[in-house]
Amino acid sequence: MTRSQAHAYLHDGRRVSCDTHGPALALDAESLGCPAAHELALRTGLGVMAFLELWTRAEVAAKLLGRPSLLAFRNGDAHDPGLGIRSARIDDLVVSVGWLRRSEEGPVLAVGDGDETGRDDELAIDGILVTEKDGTLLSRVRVPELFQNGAQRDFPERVEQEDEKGLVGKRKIGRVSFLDLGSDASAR
Amino acid sequence: MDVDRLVIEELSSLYRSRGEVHSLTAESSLRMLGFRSIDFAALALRVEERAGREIDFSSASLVEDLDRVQDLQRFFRSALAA
Repeated sequence: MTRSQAHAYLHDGRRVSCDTHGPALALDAESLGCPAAHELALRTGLGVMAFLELWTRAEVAAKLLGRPSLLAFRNGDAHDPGLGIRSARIDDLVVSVGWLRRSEEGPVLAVGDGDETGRDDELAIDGILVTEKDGTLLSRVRVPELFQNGAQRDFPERVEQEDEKGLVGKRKIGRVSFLDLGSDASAR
Repeated sequence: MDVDRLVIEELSSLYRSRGEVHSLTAESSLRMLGFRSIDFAALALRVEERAGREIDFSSASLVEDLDRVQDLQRFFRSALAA
C-alpha cells in the first residue's frame, strides 16, 4: 500500500505529522496558545478550544478539496459527506486528520492502528508525532489511544445558515454559524 | 479607500497585539513574519471590518500564492473590487 505523510506547522515552529499507509490524508493542528486563535475565537463568540476544532477541521477540508482555508471555514466544508475527519486534543494541541471517502455510496474508510491489513478501505495511521523545530521528538500518540479511549468526541455537525438575529451579541466570522456546541467544547 | 495602506495598518496592528513590532513594507516576507492561514483569517476579518463589508473569497482566486505583503495587498484589492 502507498505510504505517505501529512504534516502541519504550529505558530511556535513545532511540527505535527503522521505517517499513513493507505489513502493519503490531510492533517492540521493548532496550539491553544496560538495568538490568532484567541482573536478569532473572541470574534466568533466561541471558546478557543471550540474554535480550533472547527478551524482545524476546515483546514483539513480545505487541503482535501483544494480550497482556501477561510472559504472552507465559512462554507462549512468540513461537513462535506465525501470527507471523513477526526479531531482530538493532544496536550496543548487540537489535531484534525481527514481523508476522502471513496464515494458517498462506497466503503467508508476506517481509521486503523497502523497494522498492515491490506485492506484498501482502511486508512491506517501509524501515530501522530509532535516534534520541535530541530526535530526533537516531543510526543508520539498512537491513533487507537487518540481516537478510541474517549478522546474522540462527536463534534458539531450542524451548520446553519447565517441568522443575524441569532447572532445578536456575537461577531460573526462568515456566512455560517456553528451551533449547539457541546459544553466541553467551550473552554473559554 | 487605500486598500494597500489598510492592509499594512491592519497587519501591523495584528502583530502589535501579539507584542511584535515590525516595520512592514510591501516587500516584507510573509514567511519571515511566520504568517499562516489562521493569521490570514484574522487579517481578513479586520480588513472586512474596516471596509464595512464581507469579502467574497470565492471570487478572489489569488489567495493561494501569498509570499509577500504585496501579495496580500493584491489579494484584498482584488477581493474588495469584486
